[in-house]
Formats: sequence, structure tokens, C-alpha cells
Amino acid sequence: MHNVKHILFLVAFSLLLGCGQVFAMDAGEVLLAVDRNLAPVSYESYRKLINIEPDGSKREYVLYTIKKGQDMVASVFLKPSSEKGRATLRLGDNMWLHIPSVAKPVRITSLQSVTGGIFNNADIMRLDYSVEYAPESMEESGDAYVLRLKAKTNDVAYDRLEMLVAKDQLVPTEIKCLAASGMLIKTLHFKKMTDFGDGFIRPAIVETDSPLHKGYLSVMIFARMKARDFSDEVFTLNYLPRIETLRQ
Amino acid sequence: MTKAGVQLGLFFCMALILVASASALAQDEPLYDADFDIPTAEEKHFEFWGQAEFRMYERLLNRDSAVYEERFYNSRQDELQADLLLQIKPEISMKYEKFGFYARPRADVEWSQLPLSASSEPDEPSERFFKNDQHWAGDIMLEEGVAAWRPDPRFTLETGKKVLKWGKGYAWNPVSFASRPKDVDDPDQTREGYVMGVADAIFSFDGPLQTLAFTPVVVPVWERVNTGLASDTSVLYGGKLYFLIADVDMDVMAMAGDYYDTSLGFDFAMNLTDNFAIHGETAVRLGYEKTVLHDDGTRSVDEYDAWSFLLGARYLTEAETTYLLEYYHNGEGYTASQLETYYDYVHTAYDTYQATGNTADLNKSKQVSSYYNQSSVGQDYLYFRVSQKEPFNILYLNTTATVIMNLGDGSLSFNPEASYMLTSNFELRPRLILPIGGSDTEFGNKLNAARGELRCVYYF
Repeated sequence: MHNVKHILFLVAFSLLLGCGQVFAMDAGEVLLAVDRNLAPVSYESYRKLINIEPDGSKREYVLYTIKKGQDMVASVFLKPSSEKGRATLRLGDNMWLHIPSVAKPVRITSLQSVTGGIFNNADIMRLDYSVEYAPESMEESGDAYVLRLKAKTNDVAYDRLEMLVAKDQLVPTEIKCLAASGMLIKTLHFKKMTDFGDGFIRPAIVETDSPLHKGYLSVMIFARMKARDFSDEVFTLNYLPRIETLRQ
Repeated sequence: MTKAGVQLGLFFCMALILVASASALAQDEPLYDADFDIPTAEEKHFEFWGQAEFRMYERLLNRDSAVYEERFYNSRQDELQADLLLQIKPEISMKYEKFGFYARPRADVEWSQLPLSASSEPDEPSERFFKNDQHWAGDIMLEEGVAAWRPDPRFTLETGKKVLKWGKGYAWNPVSFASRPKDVDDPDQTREGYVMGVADAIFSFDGPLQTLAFTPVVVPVWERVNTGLASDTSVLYGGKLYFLIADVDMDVMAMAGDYYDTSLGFDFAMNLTDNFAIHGETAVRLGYEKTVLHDDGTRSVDEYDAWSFLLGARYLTEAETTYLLEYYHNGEGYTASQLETYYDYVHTAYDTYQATGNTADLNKSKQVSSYYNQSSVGQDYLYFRVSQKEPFNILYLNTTATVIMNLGDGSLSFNPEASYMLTSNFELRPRLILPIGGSDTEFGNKLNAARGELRCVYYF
């Protein structure tokens, strides 16, 4: 009986300790969890970008993206034909654009828009949030955390982020992107939790609207996101024109 | 409840039903399709895409230019001339395990109101049509056709016809030893490659040196293969070493062989801030021979080591305006006074022909016209380009204005243009080219006083 009491006490203590850890997650831990729940550290994925104009007309683009570690990303357009083969490489703060059969890769910035519309290079070639942003504060609001993030450097497209994170799944449901002045640049809405396999579950759809582009909606749909390791040599200027050959 | 109340109630019920129906209908028609097809592995083995382009030109001839006087001294042409061009560029890509193949053939059919000047046969493999026609021209050629073996991401071996893209300059690339020169009026246009063998070995490191890549090339020259790259049958050897050191791109390149001026080069590109990048390149061509026409009609050949360099900067504003500025010193070019001597000689020779019918002096100038009338023939240039993405919030519209100035004589070309993606697959590109300069300057002696063009591009 005495042993049973001991066991019950230990179980209760362990449970309390576990719950305590959940409740005691600080902003940095939540942000790291969000990063890992949105994507593996190294992965490949396909994305469809859709620009929807106020009159309902749409333009669609399909991208193949690979990422390795904290600061290596490369993307290549597969569709439409007018964009096919256009590839972008990001190594930390450095970004290059390769336009096939036209010129050698040129250095570009994260601010430039990619397809016309609301998406810019920073959206397409995003690193982990925790790489580019530091948490300033975190509040609880019902079943969500409200994370306020500040850019670590001036080279980031948005100075501040306000991230609404679902407590149960630790994925964002909404992110407000703000300029240094506090002006709202765009809002990302995360939708449709999807199982990508191997137990990896994340929102498959990110809708983006912007007060600067009233009536326009940009949508990013993820497919076939899976962990995959690449050699560092793949993330180089010389390899950039050949990124598409990595598709399996 | 009063009758009015019932009617009001019914009205609200009907309104609610209508609103509900509308929202239900809206839900039945989603804004977008959340699913998309990704080609299966089998389909990825072969891909076919490309573009078809129809260009319409209207040009106003500069009948006082040296080019006009040399070409049409005995057949006066109307001032206003039209041209039409249909160009089809399919692209084919095949992949099987570690092997790949890429080809981009090109077919052109052109009609020109102005009699066409004789031009040399294009490189093999190609087929020319309308060979003896003055107004029609056409050919089918291979711009690129490359077979590749990629046993590992670190190593690639390619052979075939390929465009090597060496250099960091936008308008000019003096270090691009094994590539055809860019059209400075249209630097983004695809070009024909050269037949070559290329290897590419890439090494990544931790530390300040992040990437090292070595790209050796072998370029044969014979008959109608790689015409003009060497002055006789030869095999050229060259290579490029690329370094990414502390976020700075750097290349060192060299090319040598029989009947070819040994060339050495260096380039770099780096970001100073997130939205401000600089780039540059320099090249030396050893033992370059330049043919010079003197004011008495005699010719001489100057032999020297031609040193060229380019410095450029690109700045992007928050409003997505891109400013590009490049200064180019062309060590192979003619000084302003050498160009002036040539233009004055042609104008005088033309006046002599008009007065006496004697073509002797014009014939002398025509013997060197291919040197003096090529693009970027001068020594010092400024290239300034301003591009605005989506002006006035017009989506898929890009507007650009370019100024290309010969700093030696002060003449320039002003090129405003626009690009609008009408649909995902259909693009309209109107453009104007306006050369401005006096009778003894480079741009004052272009064949066209003004040229307007409309390009309609369909991507398939």
C-alpha cells in the first residue's frame, strides 16, 4: 500500500511536471516548435502559388523547393511555361536569381516580388522564423498564443511579425507582417491541416491578403512536403540551373 | 400580429433565404482549386515547352548615317521601313537517371521592306532559306543542344552546343571568352551557343570560403563550327574558378589556343546592403589586333594587349524601382577620334560618289565597315537602366527606360520599353529605340533614326 502511494505520488508528480513544462513553454520554445511543425529541417516540397485578382481572374504558378539546415533554400518554377526554369537560391542573407537561357545568376533582394502580386522573394524563399526573428513577447489568448517577433537584422522583408499559434498543434493560424512603422503589410492565414505522411501534419494552404493590394488574394498550396537530405554543393550558383534535376 | 408585420416577417425570411442561398452558392464555387497535379516520375523523363514570337518593326531610316551611305549609296530607300519576324523556340528536356539532354532549336522567318544585307552562314547544325532573296530571310538552327552526365551533385560533364554565361555585367561581359557577344539593346535575349565540352566540379566548405567550383572547357573550331571564335581551325582550352568567399562571388577565368588571343579575366559581385549590390569584371586579351582606317583611306593594324573592365551597381527601392548603372571600358574599341575619322571618311566618300560617280573611296571604307559598324564599337560606355515593376499597381506590367551612352563622343541611345503578361502564357512587349547624336558620332551613324517594335510572345 505504501508502495502504491509512492507510485501514485510519482505518477502525479511526473504528470504535474509534464503539464508544467507545457504551460511553461516560453516564446522561444514556441517559435522553435512552430518552425519544426511547419517543415522538417531539410526537405523538398511542391507549391502552387495562385494570384487571385479582384475580378476573380487567376494566375497559377508551380514551384519545386528544397531546403537544408538553417539557411539554404533553392526554388525553381515548373509552371507556367513563361516562368519555367527560373530558379532562386538563398544562402542566409544572399539571394540569386537564375533566368534560363538569358543570363548568369544575378543577385536579388528579399523585397522583390516574384510573380507579380503579393508574394515576394522572402515569402517564397523563407528560412525558419527563428532564424530571422527573435520573440519580443508572448501572451495567451484562449486556445492560442500571440507571439510578437522582431527581425534580427534589417535585411528581413518584414520588421515585425504578430503570430497567432494554435496551442494544441503549435502551428500558426495567422501571421500579421508589419513594417518598422507598424503599418500592416500583409496577413497570412494558415488553413487545411493536412497529413503529408510519416506523421508530418501542417496547414497545406496559406492565404495572403494585403491592405496595400485591396481585393487581391494570394494563395500558397503545399504538396508532397517530405524530409530529404541534400549535399551542400546543391545550394551553389553553379548548381542553380540544374535544381530541377533533383526531382524524384 | 398585423398584416404589415406578417409581410415584414415574410420579407425578412425571404431575404434570409436569399442571403443563405447566395452564400451556399458561393461555397459551391471555391475561389481556387486547392489540389494540383505534380507530374509523375514517368512524365518527368521528357518535357517539351517553348515560345513563339511575332515581332513587328517600324523604322525611320537615318539617310545621313555612314551605314546607310555605304549600303544604299546607289539605291535610295524610303525613309519609313517595316519589318516582320516570326520566331519559334521550342525547348526539349530529357532525363534518365544520371543522364540528361537539353535542346533549344530556333526557327526564324523574316520579311524586311529594306533590302537585306548579305550575312554569313550560321553555324552548324543549321539550314538557311531564301538565300538569294532581298526581302525574305529564314533559317533553322540549334541555339543550344547539350548532353549531360551527372554522377553526383558535385560533378557534371556536358558536351554539345552550349551558352557559357561567364561574367557579372548585365549589358556587357568582357570576360565571356567562349560566348557570342550580347546585343546591348537586348541583353536578355537568348543567344546561340558554341560547341564545346564542359565539366563542372563543385566543393562546399564551412568557413569564409563557402564554395569553390572549377569549370574547365574545351572548344574546337573548324569550318562552320564555332565560326569566328578563332581565326583558323583550332582547339581552345579554358576554364573558370568560382569562389564564394565571405558572401562575395568571385571568378577567375582564362582561355587560350592556336589562332586565338590568349585571354585572362576576373569578376566579382556582392551586396553592400540588402537592396544595393555592386559587380564588376575585367579582362585582358593578349596581342589583340585592331584594324584602323586613316583619313587618307589607308589602313593599319595596331597590335596591343587590350584591357577591358566593367563596374556596375544595382539598387532597389521599396517601391520596386530598380536602378542599374554600368560603366564599361572596351579595350578593343575605337577612340572617339578614330570613329570620327571613319565617319568623316565615309561621308566624304559618299559626297564624292554623288558628285562624280566614283566609288573607290566608298569601297575602301566598306572593307573595314564590319569592324566599325559593330555594336559597342567605342571605348567608354555608360549603361543606365530604370525598371519599375507594376507601375500604378498594374499587375504583370513592367516598364523600363534605358540609356546607353558612348562617353567618348556623347552620343546615346534612349530605349523606353514595357512588358505586359496579358495571360500566364501571352506577353506583349512594345519598345522604342531612339539613337541620338551628331554626324560624326557612333549613335548618330546608326542605320535607324528611330525604331519602334511590338513583340507578341506566346509561351507553350
